[in-house]
Amino acid sequence: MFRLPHSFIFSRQDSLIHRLDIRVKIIIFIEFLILSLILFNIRDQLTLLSFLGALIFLSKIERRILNSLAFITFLMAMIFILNLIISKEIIISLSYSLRFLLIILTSSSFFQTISPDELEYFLRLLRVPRYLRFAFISALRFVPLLMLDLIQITDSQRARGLELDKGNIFKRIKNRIPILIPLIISTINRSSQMAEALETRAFNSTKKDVLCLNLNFEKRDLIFLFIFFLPSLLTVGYYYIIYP
Amino acid sequence: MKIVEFSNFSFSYDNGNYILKDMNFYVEEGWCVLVAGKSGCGKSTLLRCINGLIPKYYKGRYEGEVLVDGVRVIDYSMSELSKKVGTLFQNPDHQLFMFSVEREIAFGLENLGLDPSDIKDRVEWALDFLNLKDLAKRAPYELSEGQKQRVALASILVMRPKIILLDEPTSLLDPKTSLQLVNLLRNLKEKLKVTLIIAEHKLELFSPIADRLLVVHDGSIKAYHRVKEVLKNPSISSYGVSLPPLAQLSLFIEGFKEPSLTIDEMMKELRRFFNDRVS
Repeated sequence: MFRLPHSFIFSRQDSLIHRLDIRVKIIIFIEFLILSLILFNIRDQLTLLSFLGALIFLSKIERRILNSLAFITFLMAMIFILNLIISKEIIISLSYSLRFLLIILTSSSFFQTISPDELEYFLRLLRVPRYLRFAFISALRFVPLLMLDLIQITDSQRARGLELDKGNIFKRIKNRIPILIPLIISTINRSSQMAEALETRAFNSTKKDVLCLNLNFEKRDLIFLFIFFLPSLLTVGYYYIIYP
Repeated sequence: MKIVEFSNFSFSYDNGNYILKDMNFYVEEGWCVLVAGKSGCGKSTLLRCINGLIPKYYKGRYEGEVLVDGVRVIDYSMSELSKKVGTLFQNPDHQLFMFSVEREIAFGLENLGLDPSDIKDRVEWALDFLNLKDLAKRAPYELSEGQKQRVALASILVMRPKIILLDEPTSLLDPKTSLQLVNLLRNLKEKLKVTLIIAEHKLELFSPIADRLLVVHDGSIKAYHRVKEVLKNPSISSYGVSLPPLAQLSLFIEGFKEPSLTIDEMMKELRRFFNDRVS
């Protein structure tokens, strides 16, 4: 079973990485993402992968990552084969596949370790207006509810005899329309009820931007920032100092 | 003191048929009013007229006046009204927006632009009052329906409203959790002197704490009196209101003075009934 979407939803854990300050996590994420995109040497990519592995292990999200690995491996294989056909170079094709893996794992660990509350805090630091922050946060908040709706609607349609897994790919897509329409309607209803509830809780009634959430930068954050900045230091040291 | 007052009030959505017709009634501060009637009779619309969603959010033909704390609803801004009237919706999932219980409770206060230290104090109080301290860091969507209901109630209470409206609050709860909610509301009423207006079908649950029962049928008021007085009226069941079983039983027995709403009341009436017979 493909579980890729689950790898991009926040996972509440009591881990060292989850407890880090949001700013440290964002810096590490940007750093890893840039390195994933610029590193092309397999040795460098594997070094970065080992750091990423440590990050995933310390975040206690390895099980979720492993669950989605089947689909990631399938996509990696596709990338490898396509590149092999085009470039006819095994090393280059392998490097592209690894790049894909690094990008997916970096984004996945980012989304799984940063809570929406922390994201809101970070967006506020960037002076994003409250209503825009709320739109972003509520989009994340309603993912689990939408998934629940989807399961309920699918079950009820199946109970009425809807065959979802029969026929060719076009037939299967067509079969999903009776699920999609009630899902859209229930989402519209939910949005309307949500808007009512927001009105009764004085949403957007003042221009004051108050956020009752305090996150502190601690010594531990500084240590982690240094440890996970090592890949960048190694890259810069290797390519610009030792072998410029 | 009258906290809510409807005078000659009628309302229809989008200029269609009247959903509420010629309503005249008032609610005293600290009362618990139970609004009953069959589905679609206008119970939810009535609550929307008190919390200001009508006419500020839902437009339509609005005639007469609704006063909350002596001021017309149309003269309040939504933020002013939200400080006076809190609403607990049928499905708590639709009113829980944040990713932790404590952030959820703080949300309304942040919207009002209160000082963060004040917000923290109030959130602490609400967590304590509703016994939610252990759940403070949990995500609301991970909780049981009863816990979600308590969080939703805490997020309303923290804004210190004078009136709390509850729209079929037990529709998603099991019987045990429903009873816990009733006890919680009794506590609110007694300790905080909050006015409660509850739209609900299950009279047997809420009638023991209700001061008044308002029966609505096709948008009109059919009865508004003390609960026991209304239940004595034999025509009440024709408006889609099912009498609580204890009340039905006590009305069935000749010699009972008034319908019983709790087992204790029933036992007392039975003792009196048998003592009268023996003597």
